[in-house]
Amino acid sequence: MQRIRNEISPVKSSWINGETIKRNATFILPVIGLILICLILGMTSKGLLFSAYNIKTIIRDTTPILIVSLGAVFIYSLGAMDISIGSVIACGGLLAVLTMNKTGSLASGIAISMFTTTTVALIIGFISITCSLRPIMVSVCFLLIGRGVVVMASTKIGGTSVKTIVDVSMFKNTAFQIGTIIVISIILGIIYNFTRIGKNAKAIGSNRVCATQNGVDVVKFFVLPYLILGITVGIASVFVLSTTASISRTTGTGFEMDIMVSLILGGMPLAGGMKSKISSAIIGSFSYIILKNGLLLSSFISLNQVDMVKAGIFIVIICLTCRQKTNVLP
Amino acid sequence: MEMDIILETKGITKTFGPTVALKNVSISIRSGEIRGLIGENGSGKSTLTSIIAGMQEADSGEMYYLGNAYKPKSMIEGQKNGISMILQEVGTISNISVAQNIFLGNERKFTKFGIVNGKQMIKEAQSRIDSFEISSIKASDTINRYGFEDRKLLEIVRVVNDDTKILIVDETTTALSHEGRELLYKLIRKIASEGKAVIFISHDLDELLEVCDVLTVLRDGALVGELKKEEMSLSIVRKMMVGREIGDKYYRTDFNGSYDKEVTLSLDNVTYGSLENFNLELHKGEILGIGGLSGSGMHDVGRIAFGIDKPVYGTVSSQNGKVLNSRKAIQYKMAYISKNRDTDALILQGSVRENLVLPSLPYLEKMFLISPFKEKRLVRQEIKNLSIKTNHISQNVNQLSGGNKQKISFGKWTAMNSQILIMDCPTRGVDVGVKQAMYQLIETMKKEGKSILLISEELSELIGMCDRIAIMKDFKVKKEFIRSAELSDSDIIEYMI
Repeated sequence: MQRIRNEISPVKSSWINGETIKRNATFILPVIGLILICLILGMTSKGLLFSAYNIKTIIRDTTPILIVSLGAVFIYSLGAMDISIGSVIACGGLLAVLTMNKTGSLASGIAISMFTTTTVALIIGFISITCSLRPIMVSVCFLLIGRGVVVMASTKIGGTSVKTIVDVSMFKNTAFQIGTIIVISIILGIIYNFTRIGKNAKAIGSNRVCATQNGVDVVKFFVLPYLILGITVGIASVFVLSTTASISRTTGTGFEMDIMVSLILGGMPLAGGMKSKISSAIIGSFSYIILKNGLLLSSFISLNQVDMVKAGIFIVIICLTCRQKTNVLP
Repeated sequence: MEMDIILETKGITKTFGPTVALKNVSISIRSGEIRGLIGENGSGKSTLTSIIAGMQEADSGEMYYLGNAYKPKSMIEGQKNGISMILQEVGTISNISVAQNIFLGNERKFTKFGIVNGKQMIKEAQSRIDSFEISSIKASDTINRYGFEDRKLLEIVRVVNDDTKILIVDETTTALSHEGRELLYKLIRKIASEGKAVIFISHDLDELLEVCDVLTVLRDGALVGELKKEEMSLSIVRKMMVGREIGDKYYRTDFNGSYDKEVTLSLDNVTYGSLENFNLELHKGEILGIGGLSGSGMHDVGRIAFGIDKPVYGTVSSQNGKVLNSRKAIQYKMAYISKNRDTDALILQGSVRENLVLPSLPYLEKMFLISPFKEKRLVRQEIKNLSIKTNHISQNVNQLSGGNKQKISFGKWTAMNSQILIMDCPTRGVDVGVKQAMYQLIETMKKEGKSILLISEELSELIGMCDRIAIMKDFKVKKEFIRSAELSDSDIIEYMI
């Protein structure tokens, strides 16, 4: 064994060297970013960022974003993107509320929410791959349908929001939130790193022709990541619904952009492919929420400036991560 | 012919991380000469020319251009000074005219008040094309009307102008057919006869010996020697490149073209595109060669045999069943090495490990989980068996040299223990050392009873390796040859053209 190792590493290597760092840069940089965000905003907010109450808030806000980001990593790896997530969350949540109010059971609400979101995700995935459409374009269609359904239903019921009569406070419990995050992270981490679903998604995202020629069933392994996204969106929609115990016309608006910014902050390449990592979801969602929360606490920005800041972060990261121009003439 | 030095490099050194790409290289390029540059993959040929052209800067060393110190910061600066380069991959832009392609980025010359004078541009483009004596191309046509080869020639027209002093041709010919090459040689000779210099990089020794006046041999980033026309010979160059005797064991030495009766793969009355009612049988333990020009349909045969392209009529069957798609083909222990290594066969941004295990994933799976230990074991084993040079199993494939990349596309399938291997130009752009290793591998596979379909544009390779050679022309097999010691290029070539 030792001999083989030597053959592979002709270069003298200690366990940490320049090349190792370079290879793992997409992981190391976001971690450094997260640490810096915590340190700087922790100081500027005079420690308020880490007060027990605020940590609870951070975890509450991070939970749905983190859960969906974990699912979204699978489709981003394919090189796909989805901007229907926010309105699908509202749609799933609405159906969950209606079902729960009728049956009085929380479980039926969760089930119907997951069923709705999974169905939509599978349809988007399937149409995109079989009709060779850009997934983001297909998702635009469902963004509009989802929002339309919520507006129509809430108008019919009367008012701008629909309230649930079932107790959903379990989902507001911090320990439960942490538990859910850990369990889902572990399960999806295993699926992403140690099964064909994750590995093939990256291969398809990098080079679809090569994947096909190497025996990857491209249709199947394009749709399976969408199944995973659908499930995570379904779970997240219950967490979103629990915060106010209701679904309104604006629930979930801009959620897909939060996911995008989080993943970018976590070092996810927007083009997907082999350099994608599931850790991007975890590091990115915490970075994003802590950054938003910390800026507000330090009174650097006010609540109505959040979107502008989001846009700023987006532009900066894109500029930093986009590939350097080569010196080759056309 | 005047022999002034146009460009001189002194002690150029360049490193990439721990890899030394160039060590203290000094060469002088004279006007009117065609300078061949040869060396194994990773010997530093492309690094040297890219420094001269301005794509990257040297770590140390000096360059003198027309007697003055020269240090280009970009390819644009290089080109302004009269050093032009055509690359293997970068090409022309589709959907615009030939003239627009030629003057891409220089439209200002014809612009008045923001409006481009199209007529004048076309006129000037045509006169440029005519000056290269390739008048079959019309400047007013859209570029889409022209094939790959004409487009390559147009690239030369684009970069070479009156100010050009040095033209660098980097492995362009690997993608060209026989006729295309001849045209390119003609162009190169013409450019040299005008007192300009050409630096010509190629893996094809015969081609270099034919075209070049002086040959510079590089090995592991260092200059090994310079050969004048009269000193050049295949054996000397090969020896200089590899640093040891390649020996006689290059191709197969036996002339026993026997194989098993058992048919392992057959194409029956296959119709696809221009290919009509095509039949082919591959046997156990046979190396079947398919030769021809690039437009003869031989590459289509490989794709159809592996189920990538589905025939409209007819069937492709292996011993185990009908080949309906690539997935089925892999299940039937078939393998395919595409001629487009970088776009089809490999995931360039992926690591050595990710590439090597890709087709094996379903077989490494247990209860839906793939053990990283099994993966690593497979990868280490293939790295060892094929002596792939890599720093780490997580190294990106695009950092490897061409030969090592090709070893990885071989390794994927040897790891699967594939029984039927379809290889489309497996030694394209690969140096002698790696070539020799691959030929030995192919021979071993034959002895193990595997069936090999070797599609190649290199006749010497087909003659040297195959039990049977089918020569294709116009999507039909024109002639079949059986392995024999007497078979030569000239016997075959008449059926190709």
